[in-house]
Amino acid sequence: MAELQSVWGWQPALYLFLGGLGAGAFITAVVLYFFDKKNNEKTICFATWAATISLIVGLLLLLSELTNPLRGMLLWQSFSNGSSWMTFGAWAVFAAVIVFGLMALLSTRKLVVAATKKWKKFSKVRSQARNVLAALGIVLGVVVAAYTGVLLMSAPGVPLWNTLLLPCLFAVSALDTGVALVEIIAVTVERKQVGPRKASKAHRLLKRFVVVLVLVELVVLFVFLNTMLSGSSDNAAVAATGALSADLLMWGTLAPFFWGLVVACGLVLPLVAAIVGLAARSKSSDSLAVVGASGALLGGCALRFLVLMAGLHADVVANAVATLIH
Amino acid sequence: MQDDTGIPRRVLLQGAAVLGVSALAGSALAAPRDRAFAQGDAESASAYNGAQYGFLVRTANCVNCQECVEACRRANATPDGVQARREVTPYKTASSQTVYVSTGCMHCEEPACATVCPAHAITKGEGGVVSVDHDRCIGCKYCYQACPFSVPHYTAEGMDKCDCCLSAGIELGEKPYCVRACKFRALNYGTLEELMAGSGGRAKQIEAPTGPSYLLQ
Repeated sequence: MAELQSVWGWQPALYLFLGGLGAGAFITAVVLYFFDKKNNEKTICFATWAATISLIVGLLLLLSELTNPLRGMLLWQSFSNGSSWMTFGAWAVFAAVIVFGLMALLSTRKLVVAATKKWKKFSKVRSQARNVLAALGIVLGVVVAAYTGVLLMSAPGVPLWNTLLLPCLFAVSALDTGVALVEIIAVTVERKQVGPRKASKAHRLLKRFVVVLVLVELVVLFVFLNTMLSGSSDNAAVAATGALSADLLMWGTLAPFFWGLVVACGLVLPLVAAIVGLAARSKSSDSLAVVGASGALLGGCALRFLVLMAGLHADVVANAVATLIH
Repeated sequence: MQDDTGIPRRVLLQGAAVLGVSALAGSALAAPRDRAFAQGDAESASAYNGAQYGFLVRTANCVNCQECVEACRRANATPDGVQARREVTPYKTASSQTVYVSTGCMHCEEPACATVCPAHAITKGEGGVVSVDHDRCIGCKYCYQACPFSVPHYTAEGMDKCDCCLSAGIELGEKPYCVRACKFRALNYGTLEELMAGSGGRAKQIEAPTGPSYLLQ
């Protein structure tokens, strides 16, 4: 039986999940900001804080995985090789933490009230700064979401990862989990609200996002696995290892987790919850939305762990030996 | 602190200062500048135009005595419980015959490990030998994932792999300890031209996009 990839353990897996989650949550928060900021201020505030904290925890996890974490903190030295995607990603995540964090600060009501008392022009400056941070944050969010997949894609030793479909899959999953986190936040902050709901339009928008994103993710996942199973590489060892990795996920030791957590919990459950929620058109669908969103988060997290564990290395030497004449 | 990490206090202080400044200035500005600066270094780090040193394995001669592995372990003081820089692996030929191949770093023409190393810790030096700077390695293990031959492994010092015994005191061009230990001349070392000529042109270079400097016969 194939030995699972274990050189990168749980910390990088969680880092990839939290990086994507943070980026996705921020993008969703910014969509709400441009869509209807007046009725979603609390959700935007909590979502931007959650996005910032996700990235920070992810970075700390990455540092803890290094054999020399202290040296890793010397960013300008340890992340200086421009040909490495890890360098690009580290700086992108660092920049995202700053932009997301500033947006979170400017979305925090208590801080805004205190600052407005001291500086009368603050309200106007804040509004302009938030627009700039939101636009910058969307770009950084997309970059960080895709980067979590590009990091794996640029490792030529692992056929399962060495495909453009992986950044596509991780980027869609990042948005999917980000929307899920914002859905949970939106339901939670409005739980105590009495009277007619002001943000029901936003809730419907999020549910529509869930439907679209889950369908796109299902297609990308299908194409990704199908490409691996069909062994499209010219190198026999590489093609066989890609197929073996996909086989591990779909029918091997990882299959129960793949079908149970990624597909059923992470995709089918949120899809059904969103469709039922859109059809029901009532506040009673809140708990269903939270169940669906929790499933999406669990599934997104499981996806990173499983893709890392199934990342088998191809044995290129075996291929070369097989061509020797004896 | 210095003993634990090998980072001089001065560098740490500089680091703290730069980190603070870059946080204030916004790393969005710092990142492109840093990348542009590093790009030139990256190219010079992996480009090498001289004679390329490498290994040739005569599979018919290898009896899996593990002497090369033991010699490597001793010469490079590989700690107990840590994988040696060299290993001998059984493989099947097309005619289902079992042969043994002694492998270590392939000192690739375009080493994927050096390309992905964020810290510039891996360089292709004289003779095309790929080596690791332990004062820069952060131990992120990205090089292991990038290497098509799963060569890099890790000790408390960071990444550990074959450097043709240069760090064990062998001059470039001299035989590394593993080759000296091979009684059956199964494992050979030299420039790729020399090795190919010695095989009468019958040796085959292992195929991979990185261009491994490793011949099989």
